Amino acid sequence: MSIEREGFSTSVLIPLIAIIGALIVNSILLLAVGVNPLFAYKSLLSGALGSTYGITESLVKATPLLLVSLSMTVAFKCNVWNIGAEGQMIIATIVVTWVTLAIGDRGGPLLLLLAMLVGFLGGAFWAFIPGLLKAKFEVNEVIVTLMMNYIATFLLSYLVHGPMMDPKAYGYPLSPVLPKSALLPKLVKGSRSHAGVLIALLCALLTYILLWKTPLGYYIRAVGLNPEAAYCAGINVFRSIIIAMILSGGLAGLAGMIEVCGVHRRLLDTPLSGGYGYLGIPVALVGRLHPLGVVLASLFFGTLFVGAEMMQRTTGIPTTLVYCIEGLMMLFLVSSEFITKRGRA
Amino acid sequence: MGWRCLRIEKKTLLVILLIILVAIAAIYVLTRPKAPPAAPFRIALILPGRIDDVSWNQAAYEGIMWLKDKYGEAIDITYTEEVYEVAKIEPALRDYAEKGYDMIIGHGFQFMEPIVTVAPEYPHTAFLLGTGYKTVENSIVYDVRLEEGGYLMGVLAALMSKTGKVGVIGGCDVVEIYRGHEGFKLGAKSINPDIEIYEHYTGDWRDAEGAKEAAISMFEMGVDVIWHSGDGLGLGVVEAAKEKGFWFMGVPVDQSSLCPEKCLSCVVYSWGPLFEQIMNDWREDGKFDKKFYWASFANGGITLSPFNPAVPKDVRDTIEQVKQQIISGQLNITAMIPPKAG
Amino acid sequence: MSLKFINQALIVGLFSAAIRMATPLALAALGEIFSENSGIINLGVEGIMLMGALLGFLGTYFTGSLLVGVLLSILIGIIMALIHGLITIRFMANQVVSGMALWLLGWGLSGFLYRMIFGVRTLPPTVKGFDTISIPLLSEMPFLGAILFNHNVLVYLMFILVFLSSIVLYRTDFGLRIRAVGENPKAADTLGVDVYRIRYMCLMIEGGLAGLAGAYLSLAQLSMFIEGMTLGKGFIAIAIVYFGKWNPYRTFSGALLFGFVDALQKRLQTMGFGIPYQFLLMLPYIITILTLLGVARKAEAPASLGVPYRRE
Repeated sequence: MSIEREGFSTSVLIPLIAIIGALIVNSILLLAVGVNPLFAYKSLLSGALGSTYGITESLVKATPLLLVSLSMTVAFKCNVWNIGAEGQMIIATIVVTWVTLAIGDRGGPLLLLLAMLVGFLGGAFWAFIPGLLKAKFEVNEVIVTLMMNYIATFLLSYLVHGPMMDPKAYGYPLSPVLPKSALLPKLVKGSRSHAGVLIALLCALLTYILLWKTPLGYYIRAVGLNPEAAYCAGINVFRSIIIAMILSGGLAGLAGMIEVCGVHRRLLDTPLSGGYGYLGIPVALVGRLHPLGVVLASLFFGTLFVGAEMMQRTTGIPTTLVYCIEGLMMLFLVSSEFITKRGRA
Repeated sequence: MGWRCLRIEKKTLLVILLIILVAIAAIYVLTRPKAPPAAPFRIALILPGRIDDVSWNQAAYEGIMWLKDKYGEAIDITYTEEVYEVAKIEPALRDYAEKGYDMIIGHGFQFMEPIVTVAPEYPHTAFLLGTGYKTVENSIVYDVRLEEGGYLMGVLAALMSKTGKVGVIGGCDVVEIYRGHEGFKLGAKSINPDIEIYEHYTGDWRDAEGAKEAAISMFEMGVDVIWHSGDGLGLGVVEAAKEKGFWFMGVPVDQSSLCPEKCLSCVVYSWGPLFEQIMNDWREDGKFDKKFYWASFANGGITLSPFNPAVPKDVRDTIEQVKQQIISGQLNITAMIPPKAG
Repeated sequence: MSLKFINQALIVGLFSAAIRMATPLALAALGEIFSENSGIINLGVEGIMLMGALLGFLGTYFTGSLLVGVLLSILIGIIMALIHGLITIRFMANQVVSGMALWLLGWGLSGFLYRMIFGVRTLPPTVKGFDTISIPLLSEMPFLGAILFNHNVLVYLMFILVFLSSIVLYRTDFGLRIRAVGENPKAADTLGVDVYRIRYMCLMIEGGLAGLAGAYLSLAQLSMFIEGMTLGKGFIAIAIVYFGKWNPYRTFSGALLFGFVDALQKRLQTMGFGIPYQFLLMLPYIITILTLLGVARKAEAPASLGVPYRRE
């Protein structure tokens, strides 16, 4: 999947028209439940963008999406289909919680940095396994990463019901609350926005630099485009795949760390990943696997999801209708590509 | 058959876009937002699941519907479903609080931290947490003594089993489900200390297929009575009972209509009266003195559905007797539940 | 606690359950094999299965006929797959995104329609689902008979479809063309094969089978529709396709393996060995990975998988 040098107008205009097209089709569904579509969309927009809280919420949602999408970008650029971001996020949250609880507030301000490192490593490890299996044994990574998502989910459940359960939690499957030093500082008072968004944006920049400005990034992309040619050119395909997976997993791990240190502050039986591990995939692809596009796509979808929830509460429409709307939006967006493509893939 | 890319002029696209935007802006300005009905007391119910899941969530939904029926115009209710992931909870709480709802119900313990965070900022709104242990000034916890219901189910199972083997199937061993299962085991053992009890957790609340298979596997091992502790998965157990012919019992509604011949009885939740009590306590004082509310046999929050005709009279009498012991406090099931091994 | 249970009845029950649980996976995976062999990946299987489950249930509920339900589920599957085809073949857009969008749409739409039609009820509406049909004579064979020939008609259909798929893919002209298109669409095009038409047809097969898999859930496994009842089976089916290296028999054995370990895990839990149940729940997934390591290396996808074809 190569990036096209598209003009600004086509990159932004076409998706806009696609979005409007999706909204028009969605109006039919809304009318079917007796809701005024314009009122619904207005509440979507005002919910997501009409208040400080809304904007910060959109950022809070966009942040893990961005990190997961970056994770996908690195992996897909190497033609490695890492759909294990969910699992990598979960493992990262487990490791971060464990380490920060073990060290406690003694760690001081360094604890946060340690948490980031540990989160990255946790996710990287969980991705390393399928990466190794692919590079060494040519076992398909799609199935391994998917299976490992489930394994991670059950592992979390076991830990939170047992070894990691808060002894003061009356038997509820909750981990203890993370030490204060491990929590991400808040950005805007009274909201949930936290420094994670800065970390994510930084990662976007770093990803861009890595992939397009370093030899390693070049190798990764080369292997992704044509592994045989890359091999003949002397690139170590095996290493490239492994590194791509490690980086990909690490980014997903960071997403997990941000969720637990910035938003939830403790572990629960329900994975904190909230489906971002899967949602990051279409977001990355809509963002054309380029950090800038991915940032924009994450912001868009983050806003859309937050706005859609707000719309649901204001209008009272069933949540399933919200999924329809989001799905249709995605369908229209992806279809709109055909206008921009010119000839060759 | 090829496909030629549409050669749409950029200019045309811009013009189209502009027209659409202008149209939208115009209509936006012209639409009036719906004014909220001027009802004195507004309740918002936030559910982690769906209102028609025949279980935990539906019971709460029916609870507030009961309130609506009783109070009619004096109450305005709304609800949101599938707020399962913790990340979605806080915005929902704030949104309803901002919209001026008087009472916000978070029906699941994953709501605990968000409520503790948000509630202090809205001291004139009542926050209700469905199972949990942390409260703040303007929040309370409500829960159900499923262990009492489970105990009676265990007694019933032990009395009706011909093979001496009974089973219990649930989703996850959390909170009231755990207590319910343990209550079941205690109840069964109180009748027959040698009874064999098989337990299964599907790991997913909605896994009806998994529950059905689990029930079938229990049946193949000789179990002839199974109690399921609710949630969508219970329907799978009912299906298995239909196919294989063992007795079943359930939660939280009367499920005998699904399979009349094989349903012994069910534990039925009635959240309505409990919500009413909470609501009245709040409205009276503007604050909460009592922090924990329990649905139990004693206050009618739990009841048993009518027995299957096949249940003999002496069994019914025994059940009734034990129930009275629980209500009177003579038998304190809650105290008998072992704490969860951590 | 209970090793005394390992007797014939238990073994038969276990394998029988394995087949029951493998059937929807196998059906969906078979469909996906066709589309992927022609070069199109459809991640929306989960959404198609849900719509198939709903339509199958609706059809049977309103007409009383299981056949109508099944046909409707196949029909909606075909329609949804064709939407995917329109977007990925005609518009040449990204297949992964389109598939996932279809998943969201199918999930939301099925839940939404169900609620619109039935509203909120204390107990869900049910239909009379498929009954078990014991094949005379064959099912009386000791052991194998009880395991293989004591199922409902959709399971038998699944057996037949596995067999048929293999024949179609490897012994017919049509199958040859499919695989050619998947490996090298350009070459196939030069030789006169209509690449687009083949892909559309494969998608139709895929949609029909995925819809059928959904109908199995709501008509054979349970006799009702529950929102989101697939619980990830569509994605597992896709994984099984990779496991089976795009070959119907291998894929079928992958589905069987998964179903078997899942059924095993349930019985182990009930037997009460004291292992935390979460680890038992992990078993099917771990075993799948280990088996992959053992037997499914060098899994080579059809070369053009995921890449839209452009006729120059």
